[in-house]
Amino acid sequence: MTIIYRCTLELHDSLYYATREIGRLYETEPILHNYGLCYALGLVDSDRHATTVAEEDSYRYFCPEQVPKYEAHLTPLNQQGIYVTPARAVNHATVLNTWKYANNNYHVEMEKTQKNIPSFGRAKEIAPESQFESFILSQKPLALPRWVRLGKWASKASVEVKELSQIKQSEGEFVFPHPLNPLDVMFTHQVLSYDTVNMPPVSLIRNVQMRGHYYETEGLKIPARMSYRFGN
Amino acid sequence: MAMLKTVDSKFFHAEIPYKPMGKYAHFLTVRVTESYPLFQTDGELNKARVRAGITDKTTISRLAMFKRKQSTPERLVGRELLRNYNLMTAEECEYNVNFAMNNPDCIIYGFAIGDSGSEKSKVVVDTAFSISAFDESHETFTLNAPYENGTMSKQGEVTSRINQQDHIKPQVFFPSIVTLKDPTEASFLYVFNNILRTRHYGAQTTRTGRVRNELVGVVFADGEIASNLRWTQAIYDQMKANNTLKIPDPLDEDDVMQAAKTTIEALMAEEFIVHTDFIGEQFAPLLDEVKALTGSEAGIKQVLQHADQDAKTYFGKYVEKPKKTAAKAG
Repeated sequence: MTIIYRCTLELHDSLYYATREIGRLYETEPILHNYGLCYALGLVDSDRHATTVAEEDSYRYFCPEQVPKYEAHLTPLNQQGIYVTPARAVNHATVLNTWKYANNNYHVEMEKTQKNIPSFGRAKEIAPESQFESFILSQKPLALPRWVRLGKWASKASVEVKELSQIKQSEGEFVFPHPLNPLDVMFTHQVLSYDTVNMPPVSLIRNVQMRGHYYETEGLKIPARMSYRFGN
Repeated sequence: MAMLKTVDSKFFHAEIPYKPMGKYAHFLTVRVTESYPLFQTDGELNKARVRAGITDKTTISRLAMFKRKQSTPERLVGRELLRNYNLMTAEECEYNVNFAMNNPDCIIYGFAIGDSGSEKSKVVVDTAFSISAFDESHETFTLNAPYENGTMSKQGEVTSRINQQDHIKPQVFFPSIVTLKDPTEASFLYVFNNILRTRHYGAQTTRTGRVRNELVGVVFADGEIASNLRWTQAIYDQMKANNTLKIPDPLDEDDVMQAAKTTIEALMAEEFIVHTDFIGEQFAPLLDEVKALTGSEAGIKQVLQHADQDAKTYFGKYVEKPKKTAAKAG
């Protein structure tokens, strides 16, 4: 029996991650990617959720290289039947902040950069008290933390989880308005039309019209049988 | 070998672990401005529009003290001490320029160096919000650069060296929780000492950024606790209910500290994590012990040496070694 939770995240600090880089402007799209959410909610490499990964892939304080290991980290979630959808903004505001890299001079000389480290830029961030919503599908009841940290600045957000009731399962053509990760649904569903949201590492889709199995609850048709898939 | 008697050693690791182990120490501070600091990035003071309280849902603008504006001065205080007691030299390790990777500052607060890897910070600070609204918490100053004679004119010519700048008023309160993940006793004391000793925040060039850190308590837990925003809103609600928000007068520090203490106790009671709180009376002996330890030359040396030893052990085990194996593989 699948349990579906509606997970509401409220920001308590401004949230930043670079969805797009336009010169020195770094823009945060008001959508939380489902890969990032799995890490934030503590579902990856966890004893509690039985998703521990191999020692050489485990999360460490010291990272000798910056290479993501999504496949190694997310496959154990498939085995436990846990799936998190990307989160859409229920309501949000943005703020522009300039950040500098230590130097506080009143004039800046542009030197040729030796390293791939920008010295200053402007970041479009999501303001505190903005709210996001995602769905968590699980085969077992999940105990999730009340506070999580999101984005590049590890901004605190509160988590509220509500279990949805009266779930009906059926099959057919339906529209899911919220964002989805195309890799995770295209092998199980026939995707007919969608809008794209460009973001790394896997661009998302929303307003998806598709055919396949779904769960119906609270006026929503949520695709069933989603799992983390990686092209190779 | 334990340096602290008031805290059970079970809250600390014997050595710094290589992955998160779920031990948290939360320092509950209220940062009080004592002169006219400046927290700005875009030429104006940083502020955020948020709800006034948890129950009072009106939106107000609050002054914001961004996380890096809190952690950088605290790091620099620690680094100064490490150099003073000859545990680090300016040549070996320069902040944001050339991290040596093997000292308490680098290991506890983290670093990122392009191809040499990155160490995640074990200290997490969040944006702090002023309890009082932006309008009541700032003043506009006119700045000028007078001539030698102290006036703005010389031989009939009036200077144009004049400018305006918003400053944060004194007696503005920023509740702020500093979270230290996976502390050893020495790293706990190292961070504690940095918070206690840091006196200036914000733009250094103005020389007016005096801020005093008042500690309300320390919470040891197996997870994250309430946010700065939630705590600030709870304090606002309580002070409003008690009629101690004396707008437009500055808030009374005793009222703020009292509200900070009772609200964090109430917020901690709502959390569903395992936690041991040192707040109010329970906190006093711990604070006294830490102050006595870090206030003597022998004591601070001992703290720094232990922290340095922890960092060196960690560096040798987890930072240096992977690099060697990587070199071999290459």
